[in-house]
Amino acid sequence: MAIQTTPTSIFRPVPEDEDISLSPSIINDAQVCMRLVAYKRARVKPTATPQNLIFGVALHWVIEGFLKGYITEEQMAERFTQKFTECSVGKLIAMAKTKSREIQEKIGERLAAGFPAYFNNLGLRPLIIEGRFRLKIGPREYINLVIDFVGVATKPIYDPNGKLIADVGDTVILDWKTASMAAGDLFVQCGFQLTYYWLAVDLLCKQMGLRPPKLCGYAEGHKPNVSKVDSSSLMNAVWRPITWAKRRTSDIEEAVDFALFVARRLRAGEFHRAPHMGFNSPCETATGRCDVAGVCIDGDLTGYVNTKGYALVDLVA
Amino acid sequence: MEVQLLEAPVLWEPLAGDELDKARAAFLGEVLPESTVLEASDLDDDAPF
Repeated sequence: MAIQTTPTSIFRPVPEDEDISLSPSIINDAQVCMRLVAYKRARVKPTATPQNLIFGVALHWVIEGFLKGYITEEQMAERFTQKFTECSVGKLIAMAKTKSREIQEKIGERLAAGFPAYFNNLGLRPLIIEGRFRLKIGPREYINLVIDFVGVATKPIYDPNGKLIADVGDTVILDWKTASMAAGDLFVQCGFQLTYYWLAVDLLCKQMGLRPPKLCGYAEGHKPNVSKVDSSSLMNAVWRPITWAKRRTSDIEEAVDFALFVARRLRAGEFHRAPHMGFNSPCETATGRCDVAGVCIDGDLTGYVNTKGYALVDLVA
Repeated sequence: MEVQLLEAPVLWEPLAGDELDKARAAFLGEVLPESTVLEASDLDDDAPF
């Protein structure tokens, strides 16, 4: 593949007349470190498909099928297994660190089977299911998004203290997530992914004459850490209550400014090793925050600026 | 510059009847019986094959 054999083509500066399309995932990487973005674009690491990704794809697929009326509640577990297997065939799979394939399958079956009751209890009418959006944020800068779910509340939504936070008819945004650790409240409140979603949905609502978004959040399926397929802890594979959040104009401005900053670095071909650390560095492998900490060069904050582009050796030596 | 929404999905509406069956089959990767897939109005006599 050209990307792997001629990495210089990736690290060249992007001409002013060429479009740059970003995703929340790239922007999220850039929040950790621009060098991480460079490594991911170079595909320095093996290109095996992570098992967790296959898990997520299969679960998103059955959820979409259920919401659109293609898959019944009774079929959810079976269809998950079918898709999980189908997505795994013929691929080099990078095993998850803590869970075997069989355990992932059991967890997925439980989460798939439990989703209909969980969703029906939310009281949301779908407006958008797995919808693609494209935002133009600069003259040649764009953000592509796929939003899992936008819906309208069919019953009031209250916070844990009993305060009304959304009423019937209000628009809400959800992202399906699966992880062994719950998303922190701060991440739900401040993470850029939901902010870009909010911006896109807000613009759509204005176009369509709908109520602007009132709440956003992650609907999280918990993946318990279990080591045996017959473990009673598998019962903990359940959908968590949603932590709802909002976004303000200043949140959106900050997120768009950051996306434009990332685009400028890509255009300039600058991938500084400058993790955005306040009190600690995500570079150390012990933190587990940076996927390429093991191949990146420790202690170099000077960054790479090379208008002629890079060879792999520049990045891993 | 002001952010512009260039692309957005159409709002989702529940399907029913044949439309739902076709959409379900496409989603699940199943092949529908020929009578369901092809109707007289779908056939074009001028088609090259």
